[in-house]
Amino acid sequence: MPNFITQFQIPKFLPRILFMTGLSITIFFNVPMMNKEIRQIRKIQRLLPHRYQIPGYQFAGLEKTLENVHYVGYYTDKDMEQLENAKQFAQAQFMLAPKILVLNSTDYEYTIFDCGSADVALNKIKETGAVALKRNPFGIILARKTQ
Amino acid sequence: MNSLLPYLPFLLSVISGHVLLSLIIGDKKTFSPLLHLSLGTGLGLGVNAYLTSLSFMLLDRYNQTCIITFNIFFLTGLLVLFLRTKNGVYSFTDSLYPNATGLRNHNNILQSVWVLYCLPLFAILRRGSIKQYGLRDTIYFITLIILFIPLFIMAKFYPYGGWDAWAVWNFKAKFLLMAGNHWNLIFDPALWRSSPHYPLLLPLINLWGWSFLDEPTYQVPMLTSLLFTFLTMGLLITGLKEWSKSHLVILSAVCFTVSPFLAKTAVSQYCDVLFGYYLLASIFCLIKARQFNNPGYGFLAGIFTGFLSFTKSEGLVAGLILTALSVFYLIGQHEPPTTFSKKTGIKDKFTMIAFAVGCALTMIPAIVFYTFLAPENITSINGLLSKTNPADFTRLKIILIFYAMELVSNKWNGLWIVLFFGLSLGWKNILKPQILIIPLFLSLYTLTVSFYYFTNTYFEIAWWLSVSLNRILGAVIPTVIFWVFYALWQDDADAKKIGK
Repeated sequence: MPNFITQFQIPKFLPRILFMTGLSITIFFNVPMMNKEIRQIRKIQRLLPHRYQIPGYQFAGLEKTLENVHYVGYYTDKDMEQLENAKQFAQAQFMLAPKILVLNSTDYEYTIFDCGSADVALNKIKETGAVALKRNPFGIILARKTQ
Repeated sequence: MNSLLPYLPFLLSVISGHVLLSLIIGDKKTFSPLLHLSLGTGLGLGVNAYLTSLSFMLLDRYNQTCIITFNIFFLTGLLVLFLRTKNGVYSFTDSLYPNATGLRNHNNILQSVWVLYCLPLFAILRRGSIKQYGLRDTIYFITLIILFIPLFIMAKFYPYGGWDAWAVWNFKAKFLLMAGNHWNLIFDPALWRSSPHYPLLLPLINLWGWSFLDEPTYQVPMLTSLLFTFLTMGLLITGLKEWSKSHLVILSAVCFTVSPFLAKTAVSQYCDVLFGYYLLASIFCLIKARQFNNPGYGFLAGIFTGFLSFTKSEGLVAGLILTALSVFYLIGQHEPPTTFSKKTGIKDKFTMIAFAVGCALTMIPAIVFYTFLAPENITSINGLLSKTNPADFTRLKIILIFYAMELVSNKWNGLWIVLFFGLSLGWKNILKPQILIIPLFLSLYTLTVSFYYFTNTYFEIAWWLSVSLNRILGAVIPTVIFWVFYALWQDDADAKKIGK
């Protein structure tokens, strides 16, 4: 018996078959998940127009006013520890590239105000001695310092 | 016409990569066309990205004319070189036109253009490899296209990629395109959220893609990501076929498309796709270089390793590890002589030298970038020295537990478990000298990454691991899949090698 065990050799094809079986089982379980994922994607695609998929679409159009400007302040009263707010800032940076947005700074000629309410934004604009130039439907205000 | 312009640079990259690969490897009639395409396109895109960077070095800004001119000149130069080779287009021209000597003089402009740009393509397609592998590769190609449909649907949903894609890679590309002479501001510390210390290979490839249209369209980054995923899958199948008779190696590419997480990572336009591709390409070429003692493959492996180091910071680490390992791997060629290595003697040293030259050509720009251009990484605290954020035993424990949890997590749907199962089944072969570079690389890379996770205490470790480890795993998974399949089909590999 011990002799048989020491002399026993695994057939060459066995590891391959075992591996293929394992892989096939994984594929078998993964295909329905992939299908589910694709169905969800198609559903969302139908509901969400392309322009709302563009990162930073809320800030589109501001770049025309900011031609030849390299640094722009970005003031917000939102909690930047929150993922969604941090994401909105990053999206603004992507949309307005190559302008560099400096978070919570009102020291530059132009500042973007992304506040929870228009009153907060307008008070801050007044406080910094700036003038509101534009306000878009998403509540984003672009202000410019006169001096 | 404008709708086709984003695709034109990619087509030129396919051609230039294809011709460059033919010049480096020489006329191998046994070379599979799909393998040629998988390796050549990655090579072409990398070279075109480097040529694009010349615009910034020479003119200190993005310049459409300059970028297009450099790249067209480069392609023309390659085609001229290709024409001059004995296996190049002349032999084909002669067979087509018995009185074709006139074509060699290129007196007629139209004839010259025809000879220069069109005939080489026919010549490549007409090679013996098409006859030998044409049907097989066509079937593989169609299979890959079918496997690619779900990825394409997913990519269309993420036209701008994942968060890090638009916030880091696509942002950098857009910045380089639109900033004019102020492109250096891309390294401003105020942009720390976009990791200004990250290298620029992916942004440069996207910039090359945008160059004909001169506009940052979303199709280009999407195409880059899809193309590199496709090339990785193609390289997996055709690379494994070099050592295996079994058509089941096609399952290696299936792994890529059936895991929703892996598929999402692949189409998210992150740089990890490039990392995965260039790592696999380097390792594949190193194995071939060692097996056949072929300096051409050594040179290619060096080039790919250099590109790898310019993908991202982890790429530089991976590139340096691979370079260090290659010295021992290529010099220690103790396999029985094959058809190619019979003539060796001095040639084995050439393989190592060729690797070093290729590596220097493409890694030097990366080193220059890291030394002179890249700002300091401000998201870093040395936990070994810091008293406020020390690297302690709890951090180490979290890292190790997280590794284990990640590999078995639902996210991967059992893919890693199956791969480890495959490695355990092929345990006799996984450490064989011809593929020893893979386990050595993976071990050293894991150790280095773990050490970095442990010592850089800037981020809270559980959060950091949760957002980055899955991508590191996604980037090395093509190489692991290659290792598993190679180990399990080792016998076929030996048989095929003897056959050669």
